Amino acid sequence: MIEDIAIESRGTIKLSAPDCTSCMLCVRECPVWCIEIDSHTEQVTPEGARRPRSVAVLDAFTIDWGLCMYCGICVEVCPFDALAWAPSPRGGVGEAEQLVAGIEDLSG
Amino acid sequence: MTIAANSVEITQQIEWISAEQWRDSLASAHRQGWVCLDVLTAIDRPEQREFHVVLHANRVDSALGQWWGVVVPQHDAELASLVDVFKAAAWHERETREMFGITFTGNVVSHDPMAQGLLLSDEAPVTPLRKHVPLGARVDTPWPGNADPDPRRSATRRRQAPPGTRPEWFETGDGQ
Repeated sequence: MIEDIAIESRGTIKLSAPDCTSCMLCVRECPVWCIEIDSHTEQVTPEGARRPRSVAVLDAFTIDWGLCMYCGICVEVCPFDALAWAPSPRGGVGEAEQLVAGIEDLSG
Repeated sequence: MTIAANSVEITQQIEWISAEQWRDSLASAHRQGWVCLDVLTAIDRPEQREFHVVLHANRVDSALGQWWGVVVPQHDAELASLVDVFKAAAWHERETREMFGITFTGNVVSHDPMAQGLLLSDEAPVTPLRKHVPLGARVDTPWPGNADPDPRRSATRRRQAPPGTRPEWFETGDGQ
């Protein structure tokens, strides 16, 4: 869980990757299509369990800040609070490609 | 018009005026101090076969702003121009005409063939802010929401239209 902060603090959006279940809700609700998720499912058998179960594994999560309009719908719809507002705005970048932020960048 | 901002609701009243009264009502508002035309634009409402033409004006003696609106039927998309009330309306009306196809009677510039193209190039789609006109980028770009981590779930998932698109955009062409 990311620390709860005031909704007014729309600096940037942070990802808590361990909380993300790749449910795709944020991707599908995003009005500007700026979020992309790449994931796959793995069969894991927890100790003591009789049957293996499918677990989604997050391979990539990107937000294109060149498209994002900071509406916060992704933060609102995330059922697991894996996305949250963080107060400090992002710095500028030199190249357009650098506006695409991955898991590591979004978790920092 | 209700704007939800940070869970506090800011409600701004919109004053609806009939098309016949549009010019006179705004002239009257202008005399009462609403002299700064902020914006005039339209909203396409294809299901209702109408446009909403909306106008926001400010005062100079206070920080107040006010919205006015008028319903214009799409089969007779014509409205009296406000150029003799707000000079700045000339630009907004030309833009609204180009983007939505609404004629503003009395806006001389909007009838001048030399002034037909205000913002759009000749190759641009006609009335691009009408909702039936596809957004090229939305049609050409694969929607990231099509991906699904679980193929079994993907097979049974109820298909959702990508946000910001309309079904008619995909009815021709590759038949998605």
